[in-house]
Amino acid sequence: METEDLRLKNLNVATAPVAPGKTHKILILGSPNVGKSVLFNNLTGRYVTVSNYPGTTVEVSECHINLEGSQFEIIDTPGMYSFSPVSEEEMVTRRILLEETPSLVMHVIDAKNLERMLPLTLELLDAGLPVMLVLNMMDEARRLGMMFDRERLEKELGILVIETVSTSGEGMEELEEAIIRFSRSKNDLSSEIRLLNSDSENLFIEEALAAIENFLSEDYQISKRSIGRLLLKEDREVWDLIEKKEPQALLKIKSVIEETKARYNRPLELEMALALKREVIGISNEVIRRTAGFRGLKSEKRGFEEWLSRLTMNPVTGLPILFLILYLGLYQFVGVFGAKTVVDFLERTIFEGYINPFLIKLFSQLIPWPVFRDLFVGEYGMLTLGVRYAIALILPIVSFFFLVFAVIEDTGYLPRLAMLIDRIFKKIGLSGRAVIPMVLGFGCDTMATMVTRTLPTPRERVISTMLLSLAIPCSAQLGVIFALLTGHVLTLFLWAFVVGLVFLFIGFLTAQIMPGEKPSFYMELPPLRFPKITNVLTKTYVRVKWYFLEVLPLFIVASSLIWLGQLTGVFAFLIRLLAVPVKMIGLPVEASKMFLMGFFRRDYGAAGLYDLARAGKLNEVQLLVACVTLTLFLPCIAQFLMNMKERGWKTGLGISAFTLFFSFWVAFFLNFILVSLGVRL
Amino acid sequence: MICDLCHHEFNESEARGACSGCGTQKSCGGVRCPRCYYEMVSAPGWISGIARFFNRKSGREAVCEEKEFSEKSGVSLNEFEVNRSAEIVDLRTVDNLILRKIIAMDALPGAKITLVQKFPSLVFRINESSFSIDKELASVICVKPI
Repeated sequence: METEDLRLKNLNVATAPVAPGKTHKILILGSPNVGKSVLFNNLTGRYVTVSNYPGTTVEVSECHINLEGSQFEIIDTPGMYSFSPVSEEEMVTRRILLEETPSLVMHVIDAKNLERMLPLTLELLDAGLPVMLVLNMMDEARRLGMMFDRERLEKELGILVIETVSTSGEGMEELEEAIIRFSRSKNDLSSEIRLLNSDSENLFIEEALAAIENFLSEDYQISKRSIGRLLLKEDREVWDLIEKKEPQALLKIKSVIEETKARYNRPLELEMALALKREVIGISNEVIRRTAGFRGLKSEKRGFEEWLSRLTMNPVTGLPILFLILYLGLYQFVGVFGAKTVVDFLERTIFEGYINPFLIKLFSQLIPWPVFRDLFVGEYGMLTLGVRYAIALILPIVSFFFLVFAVIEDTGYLPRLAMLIDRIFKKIGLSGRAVIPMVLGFGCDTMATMVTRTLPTPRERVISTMLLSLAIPCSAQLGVIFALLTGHVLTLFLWAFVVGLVFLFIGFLTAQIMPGEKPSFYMELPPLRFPKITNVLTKTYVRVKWYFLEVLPLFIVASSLIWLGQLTGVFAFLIRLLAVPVKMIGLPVEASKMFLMGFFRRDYGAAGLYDLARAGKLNEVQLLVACVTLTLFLPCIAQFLMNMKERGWKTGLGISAFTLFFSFWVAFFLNFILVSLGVRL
Repeated sequence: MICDLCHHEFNESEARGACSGCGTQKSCGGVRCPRCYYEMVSAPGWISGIARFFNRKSGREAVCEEKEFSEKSGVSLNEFEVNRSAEIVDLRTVDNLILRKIIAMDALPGAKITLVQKFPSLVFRINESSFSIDKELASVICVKPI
């Protein structure tokens, strides 16, 4: 405690009580994949998804907590590499910085990459924000033999520096204490802007900054100097902000920028980055001590990791590894074990054996009117159909998928997959980065559509939303399809072939039609780690919970809507209407029921298909056509809404309408070809 | 590449500026000289691929690379050897968005990197981190061996 006091004193932090009842806003900020979310979870006790790849946090999480009588609002922001955003999530974070007034900005960095991440700390300080530096992942840095002279770093930067290991909780107490102290002190750091070093090489930039500072007369959330920096970097958003606030200054600023540009050979963006870098190297040379053990990278454990990492990235070994993972993880575990063994047990033994008969008996005694009884326990009853589908069919499949996905993502395999597949994805207008939403789409397309926000350009976001709606089956569909098609190897293969072809074809076409920048790919490859059991289980639990809470009400609503529709005759009418296209694609009329249900949820329809096939009403060709149609068919209501929410109603509606008609035509031609050729599978 | 008409030498990424206002929106496969606006086609990937297979560089590409090598005593990361340490000497682009991405990886002139892999995408190590980038981004990064 005493040393803590001393440190604060050294840093010019005058302690003074603040008005009671005031809520302090604390921003957690930093590059992607440095453990911001774990830190947030530790501080708030809430859980947001954490994983071993950049760009997991797409939404801003907020949580109010109470520490020793003071109110805090902790805000976890999406990862941000620098003050000049590239992707939409970085834009979100920057907007928070430009618009909110945080009482504290916690800049979290990966200690072993201090040199790479410190420029942002300097930029934040330059912007006049109240910053505290958190050196996270200290364990990994220590393993590499890196030591930090914390006091020196504090003195160099003029701010508090805390060392933590967020995954083990080390340093968390100190962090909380520091936050409390920070809230009770009136920190005058914010008024005392730390000027960046002006060495001879960026003299003109300094001159330009001073000039721009003079031209700006309005007040901004961040320092005018840092507004000037952003203007020199030709930042669109800041430019628009000035245009709105003080258009009279624009012309003068513009001429300053042009003049400065002419004085350098290289773009100003690069010159400024280099100046920051020079300063950071000056600091890091003072504070980083590399012990004799440094060269940890070459140690034996690293050697094995490195070897494995290279195997996954080399196309010759990487592709077989990918197929092995898909075969074991998806097909054997989710498909065969989850969707067949477990579902069969739950369906036949538990539900059909015990629960349904019991419920039917119970409700026959409770409700004497058969019409209302049907609402709960009829053919489409809320309990006998809605709850049964949700619990016995969808829940196990989805849980098994998310379990596999959690293991895969925790190891850090996904970025390696992204680099492996980037070239192919470029052909369909996406970059390797899109692999993450695509793979997640195999779990839940709705969730994946939300994750497309991490893609850098609008073009990539539209293309991936389109492909998710059309050609990526969610785990519930996949599970049911795998369960239906196990043993029918040729049909399964043909299904995968047709869907894969549609994926590539539509991706290619959309990429040709859509205007916009070609994507470029860059991604950090985190070290391969052994998945942590607690991490995997928590992640699976959180995702399954999200999914289940989303699904169960929809299933129940869908059941009651169908009941209502049946009662009023609307349902029968719609089925008759749907029967025409259904007959055109060669399926029995009963299948139109399945498509109607499929509108409420795709997996609901898949489950209907499961019932239909189990009753033996489909031959092999029909089975294939039905599986393909259902995979491509209109997304479930939740995804339909998500498409509109994420892409705007025009694009969202367009994608959905296209999906509806396209899936029908694919099914029609597939059936036509197979039947005219007289194919027997 | 070099303009067929006025022999102005330029980078393909610079040429984009000359395309503004054109309705085909960069999907035409053509390249326009930023100086005289003369329209040319750039060699499609598969042609240069075949040329590279026979270890012969298509005319334009060869000129461009030689020039790059002599002038800056560095080559683009795409041409560099795997598993050899290199120092970044220059970033050859004026596109701010591309620069920001490279700056985010800390791959600034003066930084030391090791190229780990080139196909299907490039992987390089810088300090304690590994990054994967595509060949378009890599073409901007000029390195020299150390």
